[in-house]
Amino acid sequence: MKRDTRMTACRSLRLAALATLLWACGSDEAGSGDGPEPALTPATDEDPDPAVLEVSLEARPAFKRYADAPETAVWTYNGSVPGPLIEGRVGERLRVHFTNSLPEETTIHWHGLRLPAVMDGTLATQSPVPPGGTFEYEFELRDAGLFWFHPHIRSDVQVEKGLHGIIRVTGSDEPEADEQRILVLDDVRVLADGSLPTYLDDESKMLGRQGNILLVNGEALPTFRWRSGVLQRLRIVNVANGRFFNLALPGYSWRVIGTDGGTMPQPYDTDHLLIAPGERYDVVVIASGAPGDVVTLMNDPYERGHDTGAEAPLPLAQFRVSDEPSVSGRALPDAFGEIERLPGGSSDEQLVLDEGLRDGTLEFTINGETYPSVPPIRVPVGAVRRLEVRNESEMDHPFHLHGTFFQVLSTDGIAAPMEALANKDTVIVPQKTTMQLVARFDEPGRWMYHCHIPEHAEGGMMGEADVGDAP
Amino acid sequence: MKTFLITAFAIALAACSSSDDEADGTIQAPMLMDVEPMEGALHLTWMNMQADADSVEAERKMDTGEFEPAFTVPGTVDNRMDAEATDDMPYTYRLRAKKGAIYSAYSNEMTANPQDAE
Repeated sequence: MKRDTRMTACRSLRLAALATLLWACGSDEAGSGDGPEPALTPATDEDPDPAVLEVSLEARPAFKRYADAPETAVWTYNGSVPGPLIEGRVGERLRVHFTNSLPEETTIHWHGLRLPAVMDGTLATQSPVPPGGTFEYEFELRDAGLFWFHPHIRSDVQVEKGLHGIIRVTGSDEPEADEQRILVLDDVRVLADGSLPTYLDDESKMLGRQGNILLVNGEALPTFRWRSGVLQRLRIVNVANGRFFNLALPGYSWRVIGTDGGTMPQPYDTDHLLIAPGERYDVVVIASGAPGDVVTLMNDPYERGHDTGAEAPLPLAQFRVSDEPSVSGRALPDAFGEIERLPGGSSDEQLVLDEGLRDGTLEFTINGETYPSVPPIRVPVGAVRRLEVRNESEMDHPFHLHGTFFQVLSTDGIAAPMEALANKDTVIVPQKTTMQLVARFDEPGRWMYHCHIPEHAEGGMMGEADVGDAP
Repeated sequence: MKTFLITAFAIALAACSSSDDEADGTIQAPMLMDVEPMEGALHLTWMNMQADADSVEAERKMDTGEFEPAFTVPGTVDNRMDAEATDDMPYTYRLRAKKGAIYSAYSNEMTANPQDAE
């Protein structure tokens, strides 16, 4: 078979046709720029104490209309997809009263936040919250950045159904910007009757579920308005299961100023911003153009394996220049504060990621095993560990580590440049590539690491770092 | 872009229009799009031309043998890995949709060898 062109053409056609079918009818409204921007709903702080941020979250079923499709039964935090935006400051204590009103058990994992292990929301440290049950999460917000939260049980299903929300933690030295927006990137596969597929097909198992409607802040092809000349800061998170977003804004370069764990000492420019599931990027651009001008945010193809690179470019959102007078004199930032560079050296642990059929079932493995059979990494509290992550499979995997940040030391033996220094909690390990990462494990407990394509994690590509007293 | 999207929209609509066929007691057969080696087995991809089919049934023929049932999936599913197709030989596939007691005609046939390079 001449599979390359045929399969990818087929996938592209199916995707484009279905996406078009679902949002073409709604494009007049979506593209007019007259409606309200799709903003996130702020969570309410229930505690007047400025040192405490106290919110209530309820996981519950609801209905949502994606584009012009019939209503879809979704799972939500507090009734919305995406869930509420929790706005905190570094040093604040976050207290969350969580209620599970779903028909199955769940947890909340606080993706990227450094916190005590018992608050991490994984089954390594917490019993799942049963239907009708409650749980109190409480921890200090230690780092400035954009984070998110989602279940860590049956996450491939629960996240796809809509369970995700955002936490923005503000520090004392935030980058200057005239405007700041959060863009939550997602996709969802909606069937003709509005339902979500209940059958996990093999392509979705292999690639992670990919949708036929692309979403920004829960809406298909929304329009954002910006004023010409302003310094626009965009905080971008990919909450999709399988889709990598490869963002291009024609006529602009992205000035990347930060990522998962906060700002980067040396910002850099790029035409395409690749964001894997779980990752976040912090970018700035200076808006330009005359009132009414529109630039379309595009998701360009990216080859992450199994012929995904031949999919068609698809529009994600529009930015329309407002009628307000243009401003001038704005400059892109070119430096931020230093971050501690963790030491390099020989690897302490080797993690080999792979995929394959075993007894007719597609499995995703670490060192030849599937979770929970993957032996845990033993780490003394406070120790620095260098992890060699070797991806033997034929597709990229976004490697995610809980509980601490890591830095990339090298890729295929080539040292990471100084300007790439960043604190990460999720990084793309490309197919047939070896990356060396370094992390310091300051918090005791059992911390998960896994591929952040949840179908892969649930399919076995997950392990634990057991951080405890030195032997 | 707009032309492409309109074209895709038209294709999607055409693919989903099945009421005329149902009126005369027939339903549309799937269109088999690809059979490709993957992880030492074969991965099939198709388009469902009958949007409301209950199921899609696949039949497999090994080398020059006869067609035999391979797998059945829900009618909204459009791909499947055949984990039993692992030997170094050509496998030929055909599909048909089912709605209630009505079967569609068979789809086009496609052939591949799981041991060919991916």
